[in-house]
Amino acid sequence: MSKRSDELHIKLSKIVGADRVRTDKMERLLHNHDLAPLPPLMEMGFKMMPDAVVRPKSAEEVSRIIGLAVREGVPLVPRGGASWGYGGAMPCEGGIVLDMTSMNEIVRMDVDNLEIEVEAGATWQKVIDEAEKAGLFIGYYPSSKPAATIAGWIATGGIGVGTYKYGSVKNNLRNMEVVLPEGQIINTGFDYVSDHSAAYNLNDLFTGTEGTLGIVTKVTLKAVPAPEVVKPISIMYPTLIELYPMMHAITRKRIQPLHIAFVDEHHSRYLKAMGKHTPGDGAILNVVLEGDKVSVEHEESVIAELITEHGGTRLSDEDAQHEWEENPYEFRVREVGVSAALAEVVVPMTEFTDTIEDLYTLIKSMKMEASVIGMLGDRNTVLLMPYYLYVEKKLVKSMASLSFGNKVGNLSMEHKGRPLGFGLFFAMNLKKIRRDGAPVMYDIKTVLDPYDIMNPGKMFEGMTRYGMPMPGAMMGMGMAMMALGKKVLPKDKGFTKAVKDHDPERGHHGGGEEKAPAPKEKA
Amino acid sequence: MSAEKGSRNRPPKSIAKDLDACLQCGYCRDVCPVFEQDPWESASPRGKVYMLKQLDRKGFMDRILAVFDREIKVTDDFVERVYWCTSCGMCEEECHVEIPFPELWEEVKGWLVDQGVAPLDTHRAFLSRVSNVKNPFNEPESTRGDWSKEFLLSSKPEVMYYVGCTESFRMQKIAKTTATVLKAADVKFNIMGEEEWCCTSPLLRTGQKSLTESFARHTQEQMRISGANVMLTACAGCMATTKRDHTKAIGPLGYEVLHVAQYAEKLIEDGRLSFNRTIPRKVTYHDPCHLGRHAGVFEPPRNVIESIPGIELIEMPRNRRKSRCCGAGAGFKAQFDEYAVNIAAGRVQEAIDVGSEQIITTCPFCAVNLNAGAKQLGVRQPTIDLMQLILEALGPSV
Ligand SMILES: Cc1cc2nc3c(=O)[nH]c(=O)nc-3n(C[C@H](O)[C@H](O)[C@H](O)COP(=O)(O)OP(=O)(O)OC[C@H]3O[C@@H](n4cnc5c(N)ncnc54)[C@H](O)[C@@H]3O)c2cc1C
Ligand code: SF4
Repeated sequence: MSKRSDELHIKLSKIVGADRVRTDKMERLLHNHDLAPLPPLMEMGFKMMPDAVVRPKSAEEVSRIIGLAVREGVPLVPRGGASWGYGGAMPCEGGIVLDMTSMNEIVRMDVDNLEIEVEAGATWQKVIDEAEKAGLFIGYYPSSKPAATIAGWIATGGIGVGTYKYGSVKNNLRNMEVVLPEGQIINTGFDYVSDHSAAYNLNDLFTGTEGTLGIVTKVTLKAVPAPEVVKPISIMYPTLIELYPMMHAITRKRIQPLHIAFVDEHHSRYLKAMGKHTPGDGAILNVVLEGDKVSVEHEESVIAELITEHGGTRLSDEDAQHEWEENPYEFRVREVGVSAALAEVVVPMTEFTDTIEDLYTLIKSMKMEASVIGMLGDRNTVLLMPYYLYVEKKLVKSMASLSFGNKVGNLSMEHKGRPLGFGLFFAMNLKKIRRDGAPVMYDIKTVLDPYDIMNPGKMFEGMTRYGMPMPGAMMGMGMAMMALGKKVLPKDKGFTKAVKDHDPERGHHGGGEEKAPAPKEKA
Repeated sequence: MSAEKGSRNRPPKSIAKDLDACLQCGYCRDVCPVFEQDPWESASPRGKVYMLKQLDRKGFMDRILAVFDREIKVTDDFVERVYWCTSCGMCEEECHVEIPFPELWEEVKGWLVDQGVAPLDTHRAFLSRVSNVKNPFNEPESTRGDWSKEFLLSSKPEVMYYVGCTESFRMQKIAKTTATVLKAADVKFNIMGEEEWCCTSPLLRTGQKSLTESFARHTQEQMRISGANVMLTACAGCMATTKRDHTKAIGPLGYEVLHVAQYAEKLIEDGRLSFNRTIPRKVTYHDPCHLGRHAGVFEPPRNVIESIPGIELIEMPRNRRKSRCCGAGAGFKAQFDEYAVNIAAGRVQEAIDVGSEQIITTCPFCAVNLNAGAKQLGVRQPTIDLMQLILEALGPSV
């Protein structure tokens, strides 16, 4: 154990007690990454191993930990479920990782005021379940709800389930308790009512910050009364390109589905090849309706009319329900033992077909096994999540996963869109993407975090181990070279090979003996 | 102590694909009962898989990276974390990529045992005892069948009752109750007595595989001698092991293995068992992991309970495939009793919350641990075996 770890152990123990601090190598290793499978080699460039991991229980403890970090000049990294994949909840200059899942209590379930006050490290699943018990409904959450924390989604500002109808979490925030990089504990909004008063809207300021402006400890979220019906509808088309007219048509009607998502034909084929239940091998449009019985019936009839007009095969209610329940499990395909590198971009609806065609051309030129899935953020914002399958152990292919993300990002910009998320990987893109807004962001960061201890290296380019800034241009060039390398290598066959050896009957201990119904999935 | 035996010592090849499959999504964290007891990443299935993945990929580079503080090795802490598991299988249930976890954990434990760094203290004793006296309690083999003296055993049995170590030596009451129920239904049955050997569940679940094959063959031979083609068990652990693991060790068994809950359902359907007494009581059913998730038996015990007049069966929110573990399995209670009882207390609270007056289960371990949980909570919420409930419903004539 390093000297810094030893010292931090003693000092952090004084703040939170010894049982909520860890500095052993195993625990630190487990906190040196998020979802992104980084080649261990990167440890040579960046100090990804934290010096200590701590599990705070209150804003006051967080504030004292920040005080310690400022005094010691040690970076802090807030971490939720670590289910984000851009290198966010991981150190790149060492320091203290705050495992915020220790703060996961529901503080106030306020049915009268239709709101929920919750500690920031609770998972979305927990909040959704508790709301349901109280007769409330949370209609916005990331697909990764079993692991994603409330603050993790606030910090990444993403599009998720229900964003089409209710917006993202930022549109549903009443108030947040945030501990700033110099230790002050502040409230960003108001409980009970929304922020329509003048003055800077701090709820918005602290959304999408990737943990770089402070640590969120408590959140008050809006809820709505539980719906009478949640009704998923699935429609199949031979290809994603052929699916588009129907999806477009739905957005141009006044109906307001909870969620609209799609998978392409390649995604379905991978699942089929693995022996998974899938209704066919085409592209699938999943539309989820929700609300009073009469309004859902009306919306369903509008969709039925559109199917008559635009074609497509409506799947059975059971298949649609299956698609809906499978929503959090987007990467079942990995079961055969391959990795999936994901890129996330938004493009306008009108650019959909051209973008998809360009994406498939890119995939072909990079000789990849890949698919495109996605969802709608609003009537004109399409989130595309192309993923490509590769064998993680092979270094070039693993590095190519970064270059793939970069290329897809560029492609989206050619189509009036934007990549989502910066983290460590795409920090070099801030200026390119935020353009003349970027300097304002630098200023905000400098004012609020003068010691640069709050998740350094994320969103804003950081330092390598050797005190040198990470040259964005070089990183970009490195990625371009990786992509080139990928093009000259033989075509990817990782999935095709792995699926041949795959036994779909494996697991479940032969427990398939009696197919008892699982308890009803909550919406 | 560092337990490492050199960098070439990789986790078993058979799990390499599962390690590759894991995307580190973390869905397995909140559903894990032991993670809840000590919610550090290292206690979660995801964390353990990450460690194993690093060990699997360990190469030359890692020696250099060790200089950068990034050291990958099997430590005592890691070994303890691997055994920080009740083998409940909820991680498999929730896993994004359906990793067959209970099997994976057993493979990993076996690998650690082979390296001489596992199992943990209390588990080590199991092996010598089971090897010597065929039970983990170190009781003399000759007394195994003592509880059965008052019963008429058949030399031409329809079924063999495989009693199991816990019921033979610690919870004879359940053994006697089961025998009484069989008698009431006029079932001709026999037991193996001294020749009944441990199913080896306590060994397998702690990574000690060496005895299973010979013990399975012995059981198979006893079944051949008996002439019966059905073997009954009243213990979820024995059921899963004698059925699944014995088949895995020696191939097709040549007889059917049934839990008495399944058999009782058949007896009721065939009109051989009927209930005379009305029991006006709200009960809930706790699925033992080994009978439910592992063996796929969910409905028979429920059907039996519901066929008793007066009984109201209420479900806990986590039931069937999503049932919550009682906390006792895989040697966890033996090694970490305090935490096992905490988990049980949580489960008992769930029963209370739905308005249950009594918990019914089909595994002696679950019953013991859940009763310890109720005691910790200081509440009256007894857990009884399904056989005890059946006996009560049969009425005073039995
Ligand atoms: C299968 C799958 C499906 C997904 N679906 C979606 C989706 O539908 N929509 C979507 O947007 N994303 C999705 N994601 C990505 C990811 O799960 C979400 O962004 C999620 O909200 C991240 O939450 P987390 O708690 O895991 O955050 P982490 O990964 O732990 O952290 C993310 C960022 O937030 C910061 N952070 C964490 N906690 C705090 C805090 N308390 N205060 C300040 N900063 C903090 C971290 O420093 C980091 O920069 C998905 C991921 C997977 C694996
Ligand atoms: S749920 Fe499965 S894939 Fe996800 S982290 Fe756990 S083991 Fe890995």
